[in-house]
Amino acid sequence: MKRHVEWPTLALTVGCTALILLVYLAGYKLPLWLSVSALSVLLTLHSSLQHEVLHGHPFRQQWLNEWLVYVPFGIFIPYIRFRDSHLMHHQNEQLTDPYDDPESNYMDPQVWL
Amino acid sequence: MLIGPAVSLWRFYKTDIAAMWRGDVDVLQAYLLHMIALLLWLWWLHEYSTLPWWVNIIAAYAALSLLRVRTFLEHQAHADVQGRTVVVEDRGFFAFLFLNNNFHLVHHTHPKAPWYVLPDLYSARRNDFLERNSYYRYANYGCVFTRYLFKRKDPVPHPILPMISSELHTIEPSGPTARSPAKFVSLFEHTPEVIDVQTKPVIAALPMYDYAPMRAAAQRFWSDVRLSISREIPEYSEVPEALGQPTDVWAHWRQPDLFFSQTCGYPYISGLRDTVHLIGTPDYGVVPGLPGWYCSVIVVHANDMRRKLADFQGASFVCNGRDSQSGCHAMMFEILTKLGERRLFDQCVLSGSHIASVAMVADGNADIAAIDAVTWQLLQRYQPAAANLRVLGRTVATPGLPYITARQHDVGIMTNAVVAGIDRLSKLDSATLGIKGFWHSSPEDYNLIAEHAEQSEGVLAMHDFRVAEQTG
Repeated sequence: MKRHVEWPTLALTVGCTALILLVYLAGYKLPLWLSVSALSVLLTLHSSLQHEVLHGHPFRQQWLNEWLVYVPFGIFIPYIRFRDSHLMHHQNEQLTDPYDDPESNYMDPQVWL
Repeated sequence: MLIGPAVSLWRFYKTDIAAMWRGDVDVLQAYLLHMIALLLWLWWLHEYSTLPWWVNIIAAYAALSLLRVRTFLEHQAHADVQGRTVVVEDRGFFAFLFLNNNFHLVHHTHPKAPWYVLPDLYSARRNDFLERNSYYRYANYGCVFTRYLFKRKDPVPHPILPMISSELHTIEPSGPTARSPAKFVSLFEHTPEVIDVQTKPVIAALPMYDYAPMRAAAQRFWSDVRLSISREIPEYSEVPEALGQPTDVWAHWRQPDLFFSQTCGYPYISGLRDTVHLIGTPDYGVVPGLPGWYCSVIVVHANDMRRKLADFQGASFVCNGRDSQSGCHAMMFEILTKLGERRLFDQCVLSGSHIASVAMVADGNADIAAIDAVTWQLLQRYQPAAANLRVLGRTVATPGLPYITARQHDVGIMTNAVVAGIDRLSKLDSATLGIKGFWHSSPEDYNLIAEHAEQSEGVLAMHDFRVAEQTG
């Protein structure tokens, strides 16, 4: 399937990263609780963006995608481990799931009636 | 939510350290690269950040907590039944934060679809998706929070199922052939003396989900309930201390002085409604969003390639009994709603119990069965044969198995005692019994089961049932 650059994802990634850096740079102007809350939310979003990237978004070039989100803002989980274990999770789940054929299954509803 | 991330991080690291120890270079490399990137990032923070050094750690940890709002559900989904993946129809703040991963089933069906098309993919085929995951959905994260907070209040976040010693792994069905009181006394030293059913009728029992490894927990629950009741009404201290195991459940339910029991929705509406009080319904958490409700899982052999109910035209169906809502009527109603009024199965065998039905499908003596979803959870825990089956689908949800007492007893006091007893269940006992809460159901709630049975009466009449030659 031919895919172009997925602009919403790209814009969100850039925006999210910029905001994180901004909070660190200008945090002293805000109450501390606000900076911490804002960062908590932004880091959650960043982790969701890493999840998008590991499924191959927003560019077709995966190395480019990974560079976009590689900075470990979230500290605890190495992106590569997140990627590998998550992709494994998708695969395992499809193996154990009685109905799930990867990809095409749902377009041609082989679902339980 | 506070310690959750720490626990999962610890597990995550432990697995990875073990992998590196075994010489997994990829894992090692991942961590090395992470360290390098992390050092660069910390250097940047050191140079440019205007915030205290610990802010990043707190925020990163808080982010993991927030993510747990989502993963908590997914995890629970998989713990219960294979292939159950949640849909949270949230379009608000959290949906954005998780980039629509709350439509988790949609993500798993289309793993390559970008986040912003998931809601549309979902709404285009909402019914298909919901059928697929048997309506495992929440309307929004508000509902989830209510449920999750409740879980915290009742301090049972997600207990690890009790480890059953290997000698107990094969369980015995409750029934005349299986009971051996002497054995239970020896297995559970503190179990009070088991009533001799030959001489005394059983007036207190929990006969529906009654497997040997659960009896000690059930007994503790009952002792607690009984104590609360006898505090209110001293005469009731005559009530037997031990839960019995009735040989004939119908005779037991019809005891004029029946004190405490659990019945099935169909027997309740079809024969007991006028002679017993409904206390309420324990919640086993098998139908999300509907505490106290349950459904059946339709199971077939794992090697059976048929995928739809319609493929089972002419197959042999096994059920525990014709009076069972979960084993029989739920399936008949399923046939009616999915395929119309028709004869689907050429053979219908009555096995006597869900566990016997599972064994028959596992051994190839029957093709398909409907099993109470709560029983199914228990059998996966205790009955190795369950591993040879797979779930084809779930039936429509109906009110679950209610607690009852004879008309002569004070239902208010009973209810309070049961609610308090469920509240006080230890983590382990609550996990063993599968009881997660209590639903104050009313007799009218069970009309639904009567309505379904009435509608599918024609389907039932088209099937000829015979008793299995050999049970279990």
